[in-house]
Amino acid sequence: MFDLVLRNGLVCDGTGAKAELGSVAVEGTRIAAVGRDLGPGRREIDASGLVIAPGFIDPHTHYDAQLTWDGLATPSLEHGVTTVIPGNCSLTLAPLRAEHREFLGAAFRQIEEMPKSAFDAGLRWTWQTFGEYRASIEPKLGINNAPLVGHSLLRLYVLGLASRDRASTPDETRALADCLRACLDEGALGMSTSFCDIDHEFRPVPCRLATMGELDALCTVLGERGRPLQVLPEFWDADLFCTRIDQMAELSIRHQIPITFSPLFESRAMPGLVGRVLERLSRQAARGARLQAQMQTRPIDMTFDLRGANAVFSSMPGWMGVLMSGPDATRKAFADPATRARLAAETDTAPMPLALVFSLEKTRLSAATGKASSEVGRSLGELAAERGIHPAEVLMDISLAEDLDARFTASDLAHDDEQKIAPSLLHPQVQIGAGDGGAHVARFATYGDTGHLFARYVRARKAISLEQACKRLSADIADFWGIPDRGRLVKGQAADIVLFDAATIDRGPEELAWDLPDGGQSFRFVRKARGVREVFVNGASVHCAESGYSTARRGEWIGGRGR
Amino acid sequence: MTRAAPGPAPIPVRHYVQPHAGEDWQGLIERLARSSGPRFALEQLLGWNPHLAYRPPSNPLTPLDIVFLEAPR
Repeated sequence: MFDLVLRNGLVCDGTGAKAELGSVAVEGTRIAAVGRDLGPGRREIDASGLVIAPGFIDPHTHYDAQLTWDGLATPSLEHGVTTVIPGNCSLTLAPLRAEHREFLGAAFRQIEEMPKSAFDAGLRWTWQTFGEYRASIEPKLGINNAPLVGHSLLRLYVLGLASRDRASTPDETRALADCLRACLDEGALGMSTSFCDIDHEFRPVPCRLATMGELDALCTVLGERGRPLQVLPEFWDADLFCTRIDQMAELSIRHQIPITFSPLFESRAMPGLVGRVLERLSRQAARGARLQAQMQTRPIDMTFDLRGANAVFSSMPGWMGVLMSGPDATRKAFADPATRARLAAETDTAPMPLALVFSLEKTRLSAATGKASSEVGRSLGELAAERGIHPAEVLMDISLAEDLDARFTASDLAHDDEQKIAPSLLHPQVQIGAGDGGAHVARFATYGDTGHLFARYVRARKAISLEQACKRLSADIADFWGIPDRGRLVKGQAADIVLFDAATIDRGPEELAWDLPDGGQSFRFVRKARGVREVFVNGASVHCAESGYSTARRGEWIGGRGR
Repeated sequence: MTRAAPGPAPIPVRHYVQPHAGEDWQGLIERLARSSGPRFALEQLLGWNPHLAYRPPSNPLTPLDIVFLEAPR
């Protein structure tokens, strides 16, 4: 008798093969059989009318901190994600010496936009090595975790704070390679690096002080084991992006490693960028480079307040100067007629930040509890016309009236042209990712990209088949990243399974959640899943639409396939 | 098993250099001049590299930066 049988569902096995009615049986943590007329199970689930698919793999997350207090990586898991890859963009929480915790924490929070109160309340720094970090998290895992180790962390560990200022010496380069080797031994899947991040003091993150020689030495280590490298390129500029592709292609070919870039997205601010990047990736793939760029499925939107600096104003030095000066100085600036005029004028002439198309006129007031509460939902353009002032002045007035606590939402900043996006999502040099789960928690909800893929590109546009969508979210990612025994519903593979209704699967609306570990001092945006009936991780039911999360903690640490 | 040699690398989208460790703009320009290539003015390089030109002083040139030596094609 099997432990579990999901019976008479539409089996999308992750290979891209035509879905067929059938059943999937599980014994322990593994898939025991796939087919028709399977024997009985201790638990039987009637999957009639539902899709049985391999659990989805999210290749770009920043759950490094959240996993220390939430081993389920909520709410990603309830969307069908059974494996997450944290540690992207050069930033992880290990290896890390005790004396560098304050610096790393400040940098991590700034770059990935996480509330300090939640970070401080949730994190118990009990580790220094990667293995000690693993030991602190592994027992709590309800989701599979396949983390990268960050290049910045390796440099910080070996060079100390000098890693922020200089390149490594030959001896230090050897020590960095040894440190990476140790992290891979202790469970890192691969490594991540960044060509553009700046920290909380607006200085380059440590990995950016490396030389190409140092990067080559680290890729030599990755190559010894065939492990992946994730890269944050200058994603807003086609020439820079293509030049990074050329550089990384040489590393990929020389060391026989897969390298992935994230993010890649469509933007009216950079028309033609995606086409050029895909053409370059294809040319380098033809030479033998294993390269893929990650593309998200959801449009980009962003919610912000004026209590501090945020990405929307990143190309406006005047605004950034005011927002970085602290709440008191910000209030004073917003009340000063000359400053108001200067800031308003800057919004008319500033270049688009980070390839985003930011329109103050279309930006909506999304949350206010004071005098402006009656205006929630209205656009700044509409309010400006009514008041006969500049939209930027409305922004400042409302912020002042709400003591800087008003929130504004800029929608469709980029990646909203589904007709252009659909073919890219099937391109062989693209993987579906760049979701950013666990990061930017008070800016936008990064969750539910999987449901959005089915809702918009499978169901609404019919641009991608159900079978292709399942394959893109599971086997294709497992194969590229070298994640063993996952991504397909095949006998012997790990029983990571998602059971969903193809007619209704979707992401829910963005909503506030006060569930961070700081006792309600800060919030995050989340999206709940729709149409996902049940999610299994290594054979255990971890989330069910009717009953919510279970107490099962059968998530595994995935260190990757070795050479 | 021996791997087949990869085909020739594509022509760069734009010619570029990368700074040496600790090199600033002046040092980079002097190095380029010494290499007997064309002489570049700072304003010219900044104009071709807005991703570097608008950085705050706290975010200087780094060895991994790409410095284009020609205008966009």
